[in-house]
Amino acid sequence: MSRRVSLNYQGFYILALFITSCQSIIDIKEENISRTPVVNSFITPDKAWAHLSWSYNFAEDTILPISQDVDITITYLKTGEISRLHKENDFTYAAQNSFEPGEYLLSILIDGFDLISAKTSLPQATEIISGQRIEPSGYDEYGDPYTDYTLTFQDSEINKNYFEVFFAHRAYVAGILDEIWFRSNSCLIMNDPSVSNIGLDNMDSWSLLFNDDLFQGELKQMRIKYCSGDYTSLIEPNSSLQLKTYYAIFRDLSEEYFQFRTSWVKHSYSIPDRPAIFESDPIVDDIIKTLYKPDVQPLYSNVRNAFGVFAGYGEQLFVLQLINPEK
Amino acid sequence: MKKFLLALFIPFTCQLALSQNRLTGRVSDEKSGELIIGAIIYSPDQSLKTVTNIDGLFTLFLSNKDSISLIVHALGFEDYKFLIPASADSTYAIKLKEKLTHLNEIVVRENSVHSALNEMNIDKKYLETLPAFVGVVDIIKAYQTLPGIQRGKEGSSQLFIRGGSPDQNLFLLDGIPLYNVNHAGGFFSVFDEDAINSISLYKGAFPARFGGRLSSIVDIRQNNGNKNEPVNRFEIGLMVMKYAHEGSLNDKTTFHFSLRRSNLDMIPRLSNLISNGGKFSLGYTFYDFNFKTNTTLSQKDRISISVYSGRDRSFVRAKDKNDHSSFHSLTENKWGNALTSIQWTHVFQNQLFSRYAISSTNYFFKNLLEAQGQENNRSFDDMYQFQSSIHDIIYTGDFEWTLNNQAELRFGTNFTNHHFNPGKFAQTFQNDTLLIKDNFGSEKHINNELSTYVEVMGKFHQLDFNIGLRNISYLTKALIYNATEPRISLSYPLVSNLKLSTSYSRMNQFMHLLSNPGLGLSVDLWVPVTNKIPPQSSNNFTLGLSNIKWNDLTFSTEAYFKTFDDIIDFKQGASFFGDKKDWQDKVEIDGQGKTYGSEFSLARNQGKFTWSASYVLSKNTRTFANLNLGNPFPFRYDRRHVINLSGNYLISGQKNLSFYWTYNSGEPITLSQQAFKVYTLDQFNSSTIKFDYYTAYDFALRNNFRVPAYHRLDIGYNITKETGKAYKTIRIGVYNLYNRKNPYYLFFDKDNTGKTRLYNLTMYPIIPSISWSWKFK
Repeated sequence: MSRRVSLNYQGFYILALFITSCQSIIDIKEENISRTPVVNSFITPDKAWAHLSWSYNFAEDTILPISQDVDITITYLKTGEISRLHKENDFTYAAQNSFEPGEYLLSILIDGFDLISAKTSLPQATEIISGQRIEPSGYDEYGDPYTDYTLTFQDSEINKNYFEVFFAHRAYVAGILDEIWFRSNSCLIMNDPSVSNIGLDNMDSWSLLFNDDLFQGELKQMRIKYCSGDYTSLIEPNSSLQLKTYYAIFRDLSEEYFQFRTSWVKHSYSIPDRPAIFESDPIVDDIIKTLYKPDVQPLYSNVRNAFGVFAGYGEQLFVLQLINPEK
Repeated sequence: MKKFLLALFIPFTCQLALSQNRLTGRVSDEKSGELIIGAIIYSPDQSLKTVTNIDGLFTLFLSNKDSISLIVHALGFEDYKFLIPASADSTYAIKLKEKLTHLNEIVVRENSVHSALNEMNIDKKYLETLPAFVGVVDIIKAYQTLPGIQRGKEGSSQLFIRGGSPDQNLFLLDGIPLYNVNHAGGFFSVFDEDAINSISLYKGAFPARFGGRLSSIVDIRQNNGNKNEPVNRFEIGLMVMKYAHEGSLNDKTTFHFSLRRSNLDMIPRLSNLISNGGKFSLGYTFYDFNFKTNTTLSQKDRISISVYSGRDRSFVRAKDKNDHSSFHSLTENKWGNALTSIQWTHVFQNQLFSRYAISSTNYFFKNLLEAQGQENNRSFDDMYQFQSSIHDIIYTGDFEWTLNNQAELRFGTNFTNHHFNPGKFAQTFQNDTLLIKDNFGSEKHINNELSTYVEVMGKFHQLDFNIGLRNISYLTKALIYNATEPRISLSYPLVSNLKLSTSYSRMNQFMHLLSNPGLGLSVDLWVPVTNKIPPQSSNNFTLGLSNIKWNDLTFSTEAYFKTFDDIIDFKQGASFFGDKKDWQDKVEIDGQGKTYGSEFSLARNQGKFTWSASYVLSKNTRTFANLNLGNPFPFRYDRRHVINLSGNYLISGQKNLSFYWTYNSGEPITLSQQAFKVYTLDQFNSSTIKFDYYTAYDFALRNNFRVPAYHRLDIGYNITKETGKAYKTIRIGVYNLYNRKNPYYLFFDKDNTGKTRLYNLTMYPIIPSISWSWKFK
């Protein structure tokens, strides 16, 4: 009969791993990373904008405007009509115009660079049948107040359509005359499969993004629950921030805008960041922040020879509640 | 094809009619009575040669004119020579003596058609010559030191074989698939070396009797139990404790069982109890249970029962109570395998060996989050649960027919009834006024798989061959997939022992693994082939030269080319969790892969200083229509150059010094080196323009950045002393001797000057270790 007993002090090694794990710097030659133009351009029925800047490398955190001569045009492809965007400041170019629904081509010429171009469409406005806030509001399971909003619209049969719905309020800060817009960023709840089928569930997209895959050409009614706690707090008499009007906003999106917005949500959820809860422990932090991250989602871009997007959309606003008289 | 096979068999059956005296035998360990699998029985002139099967059995046909001497060679045992007198049919029980000296020996069955780099059998003693990582010796990690086999993350026991992913490796425990082979995210494998009799790894030239995975077969056999004396082994450490017992009930029945449990939860539990009175606790633990019993019913019949069960559990528990509120929460992950098999082996006429088995194997993963409590006179009781599992019932029948000394025929069938539960969610939210219950998840799948194979292995003049065919019919809910897999391996001696080998294998895999893309939290979800998701397949080609001998050095080289079709991966940004979509809508299908490379191995297996060196040059890419703009991208474990050096110097009979050095090209990762601002335009009634800007990163190309190369040197020094009634072994080792800061994870952060830099987190710097063990006589 034989017997073997061994005693290993392995547990100490686990502790040693965490104690002795260390960081070192990997040198990347920043000068070898060339800058790329960045274009963020949008077109709506009455205005077009472009925001131009340079990309920057990982060691920088400031953006630079494009200092070379820039010529930006938007061409309505149906008629060939050209609108030129004029410089408003170092970064922004705009054209006030009346733009018809249809296809548009963005062209940007920067001295010394290849032509930057992108296409998008300006969608037809959807016919909104009704938009109604349901009274009385209630409380959710956590005791927070919520409000229901029903929206009915007729989807167009012609194309595949893309939509965005969100809530916003206009306010002013005591002592400041300029009004401020706030997008109501959170707490939009809806179990409608039209919204859940685009894969943004559990990601805070700041708006409801959806397409008409499940109701093409039909009369569509949606019931949206949104948290109203934020605006009720704003009408407290002592608050320096006074609410003026609360809106529901409905947007018709081009496919480019839809792709850009949905990929942005996924991108922002997949890039490494630093959860504040683990700030005190860099090793645990570094492990945790990658444990729960999916693969990185690249940001959608339809722009040739640059980063960014050119996208069209139109919007309709519906007043939900006028809290204070307009000043 | 039928005509081809018929033509192949006729010459052998004719020879069978002319067969001579038949020598049969069983080879076992003299000390324990354990059957020896893969022992080689050969005549000095090599004209006769055969190998023992999984029952330790062999058959040879001898001329009845003269006596003949034979040699039996097995890994870890002294060669045994014996003389067979000219006589009629005879049966031998051969008992081999264990070698006392340490060997650095990785030997391929020499009569095998497989080249040295296609089939790799490790002697368990080889483990003792490797520097141990934090005092732990792991049989799967030992394979990571061999050419063409890569590790995953540092410290992990996952295997990436010739460009394949870990799910493409089939682990067979006593012939039954085991789905999860890792504990603690790969830190340990589930295989307790005390419970293992033999382990063989095929990474190319797959025999037709194996199927179901694309990249490798790891065939592990458990110990049957010591026939001669009861043996107890007990080991306790701060990381693992284990107990093993083996022996025999009577002359006919032997058994072996072992139980291993991790102690990783002990320290955190104790610390939490002391520091916060148990209000908050977290921990992780695992266990493995192995059992095998073997009963000899007659000279020709044996029955064995194999059992394995293993579990992992991690948990975080919090509780608190005061006058106004109470709270209790638990977050728990559990996963594991269970396997049971009953096998009956029967020998017909001493030359047809048959084995029948009924088996069950399952794997599950379960995630639970629950919270109960009371606050401000309102109570709540919330629960969220996720479960995924796979359960197979398997019926097998395998036959080995020794036609003559030049040919052996193997054939068999396997029927598997698969039960897949890819993922079910259940959640309940309850308070005083509200009850929300929800159950959702993926549809269960019950699929059936029938495979049959035929395989002929032998020698035709100088040409060694193994030719086979495997056919699989896989029935899903509404579809039948049929696949035929030709297998061929040829080997021809050019001069002396130098062999030229080539092979082709087609493999199909009727299941996929969806893994958490993070650092290795073990969330492995097996999903089936369905009407939407086709089986993945591969074509494997090899060409190699082996056994090039120069003095006491042996050189082998092999080139391989492998293609993958219909592999799947998560869509970008998708995860198994987080929404109600079916998993089939979250994956990219139609993925393709291509990998090719050359392996070179040089070894010295004799003398006091034994060593081996290997170099692998390879390329490994994947292509998905919707990933990386449809362009091929490097696979995560693509390594252009891999060099391994290991050596063992026997200072005396009781002391040995060993080293292991490895170099791997950097891992490709997706890293953004450029950022830019994204502007979401919030414009209402065109009255104002408001740009909200956020930082976005350029990830245009997948796996576009190579992290710095990985390399390290480990050394070990072992001293074994006989002290009274015990053998005492002291193991001293240093992991990563020159403290190379190998990258484990990269991230951007600001340095002291406020400048953003790319940082490399090293998890395994220089780690010295020392351990003692005693083996009592």
